[in-house]
Amino acid sequence: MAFILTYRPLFDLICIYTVLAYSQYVALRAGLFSFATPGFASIGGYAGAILLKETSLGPVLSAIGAMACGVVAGLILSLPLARLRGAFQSIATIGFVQIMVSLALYAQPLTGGPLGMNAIPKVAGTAVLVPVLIALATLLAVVNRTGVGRAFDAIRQDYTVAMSLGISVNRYFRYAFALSGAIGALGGCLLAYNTYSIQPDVFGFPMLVLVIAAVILGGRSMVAGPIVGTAFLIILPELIRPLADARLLLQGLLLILVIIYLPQGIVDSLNHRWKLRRALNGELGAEEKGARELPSA
Amino acid sequence: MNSLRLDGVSKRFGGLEAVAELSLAIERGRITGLIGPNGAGKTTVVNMISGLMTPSAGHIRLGDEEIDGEPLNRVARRGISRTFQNVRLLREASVLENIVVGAHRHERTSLLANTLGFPAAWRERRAFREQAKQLLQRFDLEEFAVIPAGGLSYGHQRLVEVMRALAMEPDFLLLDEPVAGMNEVEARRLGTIVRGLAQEGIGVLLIEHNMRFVMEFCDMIYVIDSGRLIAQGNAAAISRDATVIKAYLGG
Amino acid sequence: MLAQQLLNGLVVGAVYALFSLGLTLVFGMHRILNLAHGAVFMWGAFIGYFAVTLGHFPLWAAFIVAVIGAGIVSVALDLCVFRPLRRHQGDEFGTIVASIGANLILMQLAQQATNAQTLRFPFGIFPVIFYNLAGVRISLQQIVILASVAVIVLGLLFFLFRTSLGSEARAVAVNEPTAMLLGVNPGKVYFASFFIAGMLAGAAGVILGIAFNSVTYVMGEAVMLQAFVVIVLGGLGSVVGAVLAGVVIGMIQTLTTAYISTELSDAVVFGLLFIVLLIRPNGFFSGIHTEYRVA
Repeated sequence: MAFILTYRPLFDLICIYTVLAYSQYVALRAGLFSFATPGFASIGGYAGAILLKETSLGPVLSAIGAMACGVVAGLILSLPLARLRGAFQSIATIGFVQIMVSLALYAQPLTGGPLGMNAIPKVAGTAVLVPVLIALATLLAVVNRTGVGRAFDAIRQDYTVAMSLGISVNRYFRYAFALSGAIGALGGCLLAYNTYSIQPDVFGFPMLVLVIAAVILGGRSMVAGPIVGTAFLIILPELIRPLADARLLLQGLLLILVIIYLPQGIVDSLNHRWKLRRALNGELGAEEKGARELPSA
Repeated sequence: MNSLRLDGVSKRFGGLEAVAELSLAIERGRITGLIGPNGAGKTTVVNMISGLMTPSAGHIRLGDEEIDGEPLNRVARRGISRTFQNVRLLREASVLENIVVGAHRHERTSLLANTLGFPAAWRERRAFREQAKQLLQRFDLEEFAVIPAGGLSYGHQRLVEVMRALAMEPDFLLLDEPVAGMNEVEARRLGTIVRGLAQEGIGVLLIEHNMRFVMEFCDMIYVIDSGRLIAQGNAAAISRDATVIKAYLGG
Repeated sequence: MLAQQLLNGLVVGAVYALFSLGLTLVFGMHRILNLAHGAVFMWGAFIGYFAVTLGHFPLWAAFIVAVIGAGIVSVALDLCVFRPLRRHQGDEFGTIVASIGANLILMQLAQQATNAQTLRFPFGIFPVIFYNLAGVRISLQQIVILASVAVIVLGLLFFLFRTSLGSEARAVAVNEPTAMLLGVNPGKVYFASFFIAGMLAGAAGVILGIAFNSVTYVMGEAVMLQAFVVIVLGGLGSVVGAVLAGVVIGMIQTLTTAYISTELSDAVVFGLLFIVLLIRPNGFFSGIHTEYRVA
């Protein structure tokens, strides 16, 4: 019992950051080179906190309001970025994160400036976080299996092919930005509702690095990927204390090694291997059967 | 919309003219061949028809409508599907999933239904998977359904790409060197399937290097060299044509 | 004092241009968006600082040491991160992610080495002399900065357009597989482009470190963000575009800081980025002197 109580804040943190990682996951799954999640989280965090403290909407409606703000932000980002590809999206979304940090610092009357917002009621404890996370993971699992997921997969792996099959890349990019915005804002809002206070620099580059590392490490395809990645990245420094000081170094090394040697991430690689093995255990291996080919005259 | 026509289509890259004033017609229900030596501009023709490139001059008409300059996805939605010379499958996805993606043109359920998993979205998913399984049966490749496409041999990957193009239920099918990397038996089997597709009413444009294959299966053949049309006619006429022989043997 | 602000903006912008050149060069040639370029810049400043304080080098020698040192850091980055990634068929997104990782490592190393302290060059390292030019005060430091940036940019253009390695590099930028078929050694070109990019970043690092008299492990982040706007405004891969856009951004930033507010200057500059992406994603200067374009 004492064990659970000690680690409960850590568990809450994993839940919240998994939500944030899902925002990043949706973007990457759709083939966006977007790093906008901390910006969405900042919008969601401040909007949620302001709505909860200054209005009588109550936590649920406030959170929905925060998500709506995230959707709007995502759609605004998609105006220039759904038409553009690759590096442009990275540059602009990193810029967006920086703007959000600056605005949160500047808009002192609304956000409290550098000191941030404090005394936010704790309305999202473990009992709220767990069901929310399960609902979100279920939703994303559905998305993965239906038409949207098919289109995302096609665009991510080869957008010329996706277009040649009649898929409107711009439309799905816009949708991915909106979805990523909603989920990111939800994550930011949960962070505000769980930790009593938020400051501008919470939604800066450390968060960007953590969510991107979580998704790359876990995997960009299966829904379980971001959970595994986030849990690993948050628990590891706690387990091995000396690593806590070298957190950035560790994350940097992990990012490089994983993207080079395990580009599909832990969960997707395991799943891929398992599928291949299952298929090859059939009466004839695919490689074996298909290998007897000669180029035609 | 019984024909897909190129009228005086040209494509220039800088100073180089890859295709010059090419006119040809692809009729539904027939297999039209486009042959020529390496670098003759064959793939450029497919790229222009499918919307990957815009012609520098001339027009591409589907029935009475000009479709040149339309983006790739719009052309695809009109019912023109294609394969790629250097096979481009979704390597991480399974063979079945690769084929199902091809059905996108026929998706009728909304983004919302697909996000929240409404019953209509699941019904559609089942229907598409059923259709994909039938294609796999037709090509006699059912046992590969769950394998990641990247794990297949090159020849099989080509077949998966053809199946994906067919999942679009296209009116016109552009095949860019479909039998490259296949042996004679496999090539003939694919040829037979393609002939069946033409009999069902699909207009096929077949780009090939393999003369024997083209001669055997095409109803109408166009020969280009350095982007220019040098001969057209049926297989018998082409095989007698002196300019064609010269272009192929290098004169 | 609008003229004074414009001059200050010109000087800052010249340094941004210097920094952004390396970023846009590597992107234009190899399609690598190197997010660790800011860390190379920061290491350039550190090497310059330690050459002066620990090595007791005169400033000009420390500058050269820092420039070469940053070039080596940049090449090491390519060899240890981007090259293994190329070997394993990493895509464009992979290079961006890997460069984020490299940035973290380089920053944490610098943080550990300095205990996160802000370092300052010894007082009087650069003579404080002011000239009066038609009512505008210009310091010797500003003159030296402008002159060195001009020399470096001309040197870069000379390298790209008047040397054989430069034309090989441009061939790689246009089409790497074809260039390799024509006998261009890609290893040599990667080495050259990363070394040059690193030298440019290192030069910018020492100059800014002295101009603002502050060297910290986070100094790369701010300049990196300005450089994003510069390279998009100038057209990704455009050398001349980066120089012109660098100057424009430097001036806009100086003016907003002077007349509006420091906090908002970031927002103004990034607002500009979005407008550019919306109306002219290929940048405003890519049309000028197309023969100077690298990509």
